[in-house]
Amino acid sequence: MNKFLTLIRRDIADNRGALVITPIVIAAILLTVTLFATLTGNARFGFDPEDFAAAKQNPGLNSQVIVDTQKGAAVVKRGPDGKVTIITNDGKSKSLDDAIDPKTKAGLEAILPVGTATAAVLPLAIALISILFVLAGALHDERKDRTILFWKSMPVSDLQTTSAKLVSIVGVGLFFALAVTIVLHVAITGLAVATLGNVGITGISAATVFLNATKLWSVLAVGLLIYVGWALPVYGWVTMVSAWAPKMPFVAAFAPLFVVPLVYMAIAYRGDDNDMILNALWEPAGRLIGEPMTDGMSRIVQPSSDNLPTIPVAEILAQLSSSLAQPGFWIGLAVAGGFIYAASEIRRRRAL
Amino acid sequence: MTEVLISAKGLAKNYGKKQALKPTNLEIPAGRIVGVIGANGAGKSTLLNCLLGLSDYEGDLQVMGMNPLMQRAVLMEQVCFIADVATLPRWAKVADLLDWVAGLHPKFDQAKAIARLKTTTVQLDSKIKALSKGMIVQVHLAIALAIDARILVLDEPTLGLDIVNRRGFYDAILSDFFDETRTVIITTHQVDEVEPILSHAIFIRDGAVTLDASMDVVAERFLAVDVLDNQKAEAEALRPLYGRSLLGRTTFVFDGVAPEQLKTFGEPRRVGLADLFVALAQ
Repeated sequence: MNKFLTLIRRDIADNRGALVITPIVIAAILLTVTLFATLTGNARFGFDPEDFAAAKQNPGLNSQVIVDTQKGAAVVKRGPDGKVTIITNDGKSKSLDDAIDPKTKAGLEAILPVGTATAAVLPLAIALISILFVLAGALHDERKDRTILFWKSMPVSDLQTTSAKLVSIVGVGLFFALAVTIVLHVAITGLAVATLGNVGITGISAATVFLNATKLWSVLAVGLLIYVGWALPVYGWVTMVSAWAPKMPFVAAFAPLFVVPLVYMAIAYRGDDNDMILNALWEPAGRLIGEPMTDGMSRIVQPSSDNLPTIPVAEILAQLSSSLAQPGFWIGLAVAGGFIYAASEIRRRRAL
Repeated sequence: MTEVLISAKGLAKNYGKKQALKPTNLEIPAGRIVGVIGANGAGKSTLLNCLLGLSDYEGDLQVMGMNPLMQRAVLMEQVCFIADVATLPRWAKVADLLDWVAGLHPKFDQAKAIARLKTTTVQLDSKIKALSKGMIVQVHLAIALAIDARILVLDEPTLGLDIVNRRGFYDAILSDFFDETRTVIITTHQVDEVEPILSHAIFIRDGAVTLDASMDVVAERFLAVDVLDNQKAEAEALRPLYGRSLLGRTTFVFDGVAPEQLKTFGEPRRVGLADLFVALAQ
């Protein structure tokens, strides 16, 4: 076990740029942009650097925007204290806080973390793509730079080495990106809650918002785990190609997954959506986009019995978990095991 | 009886239609320093790769009683391997590399490696890519000598190094690794530099072993003698392996001819491995 952990530590160090630094940099950029937008008055429904500069020089200046509603145009003003006032076209004026009823505010508590999550999930989304490149190079690059001769002089089996690469790149890579995503989500959600207070909206419970955010994280973590299970045969395939390909392992791994179904479509597809051969050919790509586990998935935010938006965690987790009952999931795991074993055997039998 | 560490019967390796190593029989006991000598592409590295379980092969091969291809992970606890200088991961820091080897190799003494590196100019927090070739060899040597192995395999270990580093490398192998229970196998182009430390030589040519003998046997079996032009015909009658004419006399290399017979031409002398390799290549 100690050897396996050492291999994982080594592989993380080897791929630190893609697995560790990239998610952190993406998160830092997103957070900086969000922070900048928030601080420069983005909360007044638009970003105009000139207005911001004017507001800084004249703290008493009221900036305003016109919004069209179904009931007609309204003027939205933001005062020097940051509070937003809405003046409808019939001349009535009310604060933004008054304009939002308590039920809508309760809905905001559920919707807000979902909205911020769509931005915060970017490091994870990019990690899902970048690990494919890292995995394609995992067993190829050590031959290319000849370091395989050093690593093979260590008393470590090829199966251990291959498995450790898969665990470090897919497992650690994706779950580290998830951790970064969660940290970023906390920060962006915190900024959003602070902004709501800043524009004068009261009655939004930060605790409830973050509780809903926590629910999303549990969905995301479990979903990611199940996703990895579904995608594992593709990851195994890429690892095997990496062990074998003389050059361009990424192209060698992914060209068959996309070119073969496209060629089949060009030659034999007659518009039948139930074409079993075509569905089988597209299955690896489908697994990569998480199709089997999200089939029939309900929306993340659903109305409750009293018509308030809620995040039905138990229901979503149950739906995600139900995909584990499909035979395809377990067949995929067995196929993945076969590919990983084949990758280790290829590595065993070739020095360079 | 001396323990046989490496035993090969009909060991061969093909790359497609090319036979990189023709069927070879070998026995290498403990307590030897074996030089594997051959031209570029002759099959030296192929032979070492087979012995180390780094590639598949045909025939029967036992290294310390194990099948190197199928039991490499266990075998590498007893075997240490240094390829040329380019095999250490360039992206790694020296200290991290030592940590990883400590985590992977149960017979690695990290403190010993660090102590050795402290006598050099290598900084532990340096990245491998920031080190010179000589420093990288120092790192690799520190790792290899800190592993309590029975067999040390060196594949062109001093390629690209200056003479000071090359000599220091072999001195360290002799003083810090070699003893009667251990075996060192070296492939190198710098035959003259390793010849004084070898106890055994294996010549490979076009994938075939052309000589497999101890240095004592080489010294007894192969003799060179300088022959004047008027005695050339007489010397050629003894069927020399090789003759080289220079400055009015010809140097002949003989295989298995008694020294007494050769003394009629001049004083017979030992043949250097480089000359013998050229002679056997004719």
